[in-house]
Amino acid sequence: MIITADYIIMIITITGVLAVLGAIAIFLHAVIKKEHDFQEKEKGVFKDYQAIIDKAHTEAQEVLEDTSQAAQRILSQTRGTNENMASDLDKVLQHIAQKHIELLNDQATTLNQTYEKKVVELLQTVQDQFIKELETKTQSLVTKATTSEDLLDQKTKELLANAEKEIAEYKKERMTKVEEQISHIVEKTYQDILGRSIPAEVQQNLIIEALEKAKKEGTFEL
Amino acid sequence: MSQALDLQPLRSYLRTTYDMRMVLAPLEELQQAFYKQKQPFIETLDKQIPFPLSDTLKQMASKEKIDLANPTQAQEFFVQMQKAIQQIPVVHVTMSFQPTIALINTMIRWLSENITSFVILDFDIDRTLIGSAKIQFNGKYKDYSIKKRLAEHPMDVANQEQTNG
Repeated sequence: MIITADYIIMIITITGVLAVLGAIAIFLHAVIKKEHDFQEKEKGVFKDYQAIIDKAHTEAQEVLEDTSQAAQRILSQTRGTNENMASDLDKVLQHIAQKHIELLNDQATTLNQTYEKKVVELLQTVQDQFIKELETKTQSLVTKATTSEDLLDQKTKELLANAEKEIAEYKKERMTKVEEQISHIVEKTYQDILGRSIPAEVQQNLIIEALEKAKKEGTFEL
Repeated sequence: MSQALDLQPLRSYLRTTYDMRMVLAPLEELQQAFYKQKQPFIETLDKQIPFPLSDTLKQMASKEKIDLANPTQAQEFFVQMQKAIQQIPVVHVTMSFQPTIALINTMIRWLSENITSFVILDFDIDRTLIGSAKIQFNGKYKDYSIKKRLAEHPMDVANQEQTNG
């Protein structure tokens, strides 16, 4: 038999393929086995969970019943307590109210007495002050009346003096005006009569005379 | 030409401020004729300036040795004359009546005899003065009027006027 290289290669290839197939089969078997184990384990765990839940449910039921009973008990006790408390509170309030009223009455009495006393004191004070002020005012008015009389006398004298002064000034002013008027009338008379009656020759002489006077008085000195 | 122009030849022409204006006007006319019409001064004097002023001005120029045919000399002479006339001192007289020529001449004569400087008169009329005058010269003022004397001594004036009358 001739063993060729191709034959050898074919054999090696087949062997290889078979080896690979074998390996795959082993792997698949392992996987399936592991899956099976896992499912079995899961089933166990689920079973445990169920048991725990059932137990918990039962216990919760029991607790609920106990609680309900306890609540009923507490509720009935509480109702009784509340009734007692309301009664006690009412008593306390009545006591407080009575005390309060007594206190208020006492205070009112005290306040009333104090108020009456204060009013009497105040009235007395006001009366005293009024009498005192009245006396002071009366004294002041008497003093002022005396002073006013003096002032009036002094004022009258001042007014009289001023009036006399004004009359004197007015008299002087009028006299000055009368004198001015007389002077003006005299002046006008002289102007009208004397001015016309002075001859031209005399007028010329008066002018030359004025020049001479001016010369004498140094008017023409440069 | 002398420094100070002698205005004495113009005395009869220059007695009052009115006269002064009447002399200054012809002198201005001489200047205008020369500048505007180029007319010689001598020709203007002969043709436009009234006699005897024209003759007096010629004589004054001659006395000052001014050749009126010489425009420069003549112009300078007349300008100087204008300035000198404008600077003549004025005696202001206020009196109660309008002055007559006779009074003006009398007053000028008196001023010429009694005041060395050349002066002219200026008049104001105030009828309230009654008589005499108020005189003002070179910043000095005097009131010799009868009005003032009357105000100061009424009886004295009345007696004096009665005596004069």
